[in-house]
Amino acid sequence: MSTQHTDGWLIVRVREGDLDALGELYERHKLAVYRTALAITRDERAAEDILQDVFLRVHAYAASIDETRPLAPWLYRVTVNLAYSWTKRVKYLFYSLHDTLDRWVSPPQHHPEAATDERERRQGLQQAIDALPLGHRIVIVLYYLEGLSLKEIAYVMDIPEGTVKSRLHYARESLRGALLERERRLVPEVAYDFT
Amino acid sequence: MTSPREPRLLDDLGRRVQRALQERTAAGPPPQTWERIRARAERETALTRNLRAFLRSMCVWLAVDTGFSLGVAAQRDMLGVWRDLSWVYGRHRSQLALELAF
Repeated sequence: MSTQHTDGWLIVRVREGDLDALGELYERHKLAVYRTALAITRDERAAEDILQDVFLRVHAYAASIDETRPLAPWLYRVTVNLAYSWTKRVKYLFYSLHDTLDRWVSPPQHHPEAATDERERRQGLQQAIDALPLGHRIVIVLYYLEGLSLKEIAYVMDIPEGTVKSRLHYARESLRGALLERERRLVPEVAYDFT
Repeated sequence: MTSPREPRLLDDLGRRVQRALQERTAAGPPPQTWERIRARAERETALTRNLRAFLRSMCVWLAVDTGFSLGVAAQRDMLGVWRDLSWVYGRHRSQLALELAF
């Protein structure tokens, strides 16, 4: 397919019932939508469902999408809303059960020898990101993974730019604190014997 | 937001957060996702078409029944059809209520 078609032109085609145009939009934006949904929900199945729903909404609401404006912010907005709803819905049903089982099956173990392992650290950071309040996690995902500006995030989340800034600040502080805490726990304690 | 962006200057924490998120979301969607979207879109299109046809025929029927001009009713859009339906309902509500009462 030609790559010079703008999103706006494709939206007009979708409005006229052209599913190939929808397919071109899908190819263009699928990774960003899927990645964002996956980073927020942490569930591949949910991310795929959200990806489907986002593009079905493009199809259903093509008539009300302003083709003169970039499509990506609209897509991010729908993605975040769907991912937010999904996470809120399953949070208490699934994750509390999952966490409980996790604690039973694999009690926390600390391996001092793995403290320097980059992968181990990254997993720790992922856990710290997961532990952030949902609103803060979404800001972190959009800012660091998708590279959106504060202004763009404010539009996507429908909140003031100042709120985005403060959420980013508190999320970073929280992640920094979690990393320091984790590294402190992983460093082997040295027992000094002065006798 | 789709155009290539200037790489953002990140501090150490930012780089680590970015890497952790990228690692987790490295896999793309399953290849059959588009086929599912297309099938659902086609189904919804057919459903909407059938609904529109049904509403149009309802409108024609009601138009004849209530003495509307057939030409005017057929030219109306979906919104117009709903308006007609609600108008007809409103017009006959009291009569219907009386009939039901007896």
